Amino acid sequence: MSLVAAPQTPLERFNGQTFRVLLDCLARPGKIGQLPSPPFTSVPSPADTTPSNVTAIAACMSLLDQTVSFVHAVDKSWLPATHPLSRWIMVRSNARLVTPAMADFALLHDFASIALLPQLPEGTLLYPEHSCTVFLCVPAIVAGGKTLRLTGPGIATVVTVGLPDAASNDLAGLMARRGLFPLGVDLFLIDRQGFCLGLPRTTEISLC
Amino acid sequence: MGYVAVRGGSEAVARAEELVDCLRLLGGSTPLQLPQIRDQLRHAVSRAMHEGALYAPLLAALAVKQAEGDSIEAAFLLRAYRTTLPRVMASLPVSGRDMRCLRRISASFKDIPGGQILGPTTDYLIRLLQPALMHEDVRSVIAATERYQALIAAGGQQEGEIGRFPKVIDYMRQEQMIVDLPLEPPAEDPYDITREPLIFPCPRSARLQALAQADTGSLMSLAYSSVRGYGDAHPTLIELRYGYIAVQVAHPLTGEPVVIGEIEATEAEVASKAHSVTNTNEPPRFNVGYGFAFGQSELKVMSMAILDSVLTQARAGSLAGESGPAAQEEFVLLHTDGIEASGFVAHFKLPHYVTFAADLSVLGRARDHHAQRQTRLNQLVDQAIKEQ
Amino acid sequence: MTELTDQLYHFALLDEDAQREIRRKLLKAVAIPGHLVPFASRDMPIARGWGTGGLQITLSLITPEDTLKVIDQGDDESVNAVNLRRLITRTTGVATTTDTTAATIIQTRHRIPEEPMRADQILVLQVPMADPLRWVEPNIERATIMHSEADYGKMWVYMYESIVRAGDLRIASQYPVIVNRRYMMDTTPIPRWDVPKLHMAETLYLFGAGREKRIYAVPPYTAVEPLQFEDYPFRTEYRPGQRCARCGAENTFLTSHFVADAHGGRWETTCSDVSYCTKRCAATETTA
Repeated sequence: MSLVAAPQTPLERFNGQTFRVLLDCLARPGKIGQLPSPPFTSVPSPADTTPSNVTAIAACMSLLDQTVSFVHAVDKSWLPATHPLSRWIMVRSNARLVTPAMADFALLHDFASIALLPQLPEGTLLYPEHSCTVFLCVPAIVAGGKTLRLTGPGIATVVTVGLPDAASNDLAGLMARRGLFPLGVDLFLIDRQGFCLGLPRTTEISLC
Repeated sequence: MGYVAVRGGSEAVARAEELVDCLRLLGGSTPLQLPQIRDQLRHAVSRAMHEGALYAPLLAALAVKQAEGDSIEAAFLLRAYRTTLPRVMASLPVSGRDMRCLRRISASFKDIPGGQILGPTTDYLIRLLQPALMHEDVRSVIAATERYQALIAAGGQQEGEIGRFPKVIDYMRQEQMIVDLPLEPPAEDPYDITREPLIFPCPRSARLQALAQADTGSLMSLAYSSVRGYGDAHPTLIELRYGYIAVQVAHPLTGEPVVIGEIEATEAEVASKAHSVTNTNEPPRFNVGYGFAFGQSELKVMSMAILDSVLTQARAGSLAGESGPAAQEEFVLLHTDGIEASGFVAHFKLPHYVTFAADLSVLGRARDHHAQRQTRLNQLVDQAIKEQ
Repeated sequence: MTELTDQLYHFALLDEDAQREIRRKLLKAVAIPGHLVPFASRDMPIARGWGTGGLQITLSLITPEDTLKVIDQGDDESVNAVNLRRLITRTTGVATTTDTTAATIIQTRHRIPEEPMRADQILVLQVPMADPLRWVEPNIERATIMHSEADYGKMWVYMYESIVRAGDLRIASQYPVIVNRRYMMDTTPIPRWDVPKLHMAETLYLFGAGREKRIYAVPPYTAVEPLQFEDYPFRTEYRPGQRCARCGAENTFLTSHFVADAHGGRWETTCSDVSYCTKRCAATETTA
């Protein structure tokens, strides 16, 4: 039986592999997935003091196209469409940069920007899926570490993960606006090594 | 033997397809050429195109040939092909005003600006089989060309823009007989039900798209139910026109409109029997329904226009008379797609022996329950007799 | 030139945007267990009602490294399973298997395999109806409101009436369940036998209804409870003493089929999961 399809391009391959990691991480909160290396180079930085987490940006972009919208932020403020990184993302994804309350996706380039979480859509009772998916860049994620204690769907009993270097304010921001099921935002935490932690709205988070 | 229990399903599937291919040609007649189908089975090709939602006459002819004339199968083949095509850009809006008409009639007024043009139609044909068609050959083709030239000569060539006529609906709108264009928030792009899920209540553009690619027979049946008594009895045909419309896109660099081709299409508007009460501040007017389809597809566009009108009135709560299924938008749009309906009805040919085994288990338990009840009843009767 | 004409289509048939849309919807489905997420559901080269929903999910998930198993009625060789497998392999080139334990993605119609599935596997179920409320509320707009308010009273009444009339919860397959104590979900026509396998499972279950244009999911370790009454508990099809005529298994879902022989033939009940049954038969032969 002959193959009738062309092989995947490097970007399609990245998008396909990334999706499987994201799906697995969201289905199993607390399981730390390893994202593949993105086929992007020379990505603009969100801020002079904050280098870009290319894996997180590429993972978010793997889900963007002209039918969806996004916002991104660094140091607790939303970046405008004129920012070089906004342009870089828009040109490659065709996604629209909108106001936070309308965003399908949010890319938070540093942990502190989690403070902006309450501005993002949480869905409605009729359409709880019309909620934001957030990609949050964090310094490091440690499987089995002792920062967060997670329970809920996808977790057999309890699981713990470590977020070294996380400030208590950041952790408080992470735990805000939860327990509203079926409403809520869904989060992916991605560290500098490309390790990924999924936190769907169903996960109950407490501190260890 | 069952068709699942048998090993070697792969081979059976391949051979079944081969058999179909052979059967088409086994009769020994000359294989059909695509231009023959396109020119001589005009309506079959049009139907494949509007139900398949792709304007491609020669590909539609191929689909009709491959489907051996089955209209739903031909439309299915085209749709499955269309889904693999990239969506390069959206065309600019086209208007029926710019149609080069081969035919345009109105039932609402005797004389209309530009006049009634009957054009090619079988409407008044006495339905007798024509034995002459049995023996057509190349001489008939030549004769047809000559007859066509004679018809044109008799009709008289007109100067200027051939076949362009003002729309009757524009006059009626100007005279405030009919409602203004719906006051829906102008979406940047029309809704595309092939790219976004159809969620109810849906915008009118989604409704019109769904109706435009619906099965002709299903639309006709529901439109008939409505005009027969379950809905807006007896609407009036404002205008029906058939002809050619140029399709334009905006030039990607300059933004100037560029004509990329011409499509053959039919368009219709109907006015509701009952006047609208949608806006109590304004004097009552008639409601309007719109229909459009590729090719000369008059039954389709009239059915579509009737249903569009009924659904608009039903949503506004101004539908007069009994309402039936044709007045329920969800019911109409979800049950008239020929591809979806035929697929699901045909899926019952698939093996269901797991679910049937489960059904049998439930049936068994229901029988036990029945038997127990019966026994208990008999016991009670026996007891009662004894006690007497 | 041959290469060009042979490779007319995108990897996994659907174009990148279509795959992306389904991926976005799948993530939301996993985040809201049991909730029906609408998706565009492109036209496919197979008929609606023949697995287009499951197929679109599989095609959006699959990577060249995957090993695929496709079953229909528990059988890898069922005509429709063969046809879907043919389409997927021709557009992806992935390896296929009939062994449940060797697959990374299993697409199925009407069954969950008998062998327990693992965390590194995904089961994709083809769904014909999607909304469990269809029996009591065919209008989608109204049913969506009922789901949003967790207003399932009508369904409980339906269940109660079926007990009064038939002495049993009269739903054979497509048994309604409550997922994560919130949403009522249609289990697609799997027999009741397979319903307990959804509860606190190791595997991710993805459901695709192509004609109905809905995607939903049951993540691993998620509570899935069949609707039942205290005095009429949920029961599977299990009959004490049941046994597969081929492999002798006493705890599998059985279906009956006709076997022709010299005496005109007889009816036999065997495992519907044919690959599992064959594996057991082979194991017996080896030990014998």
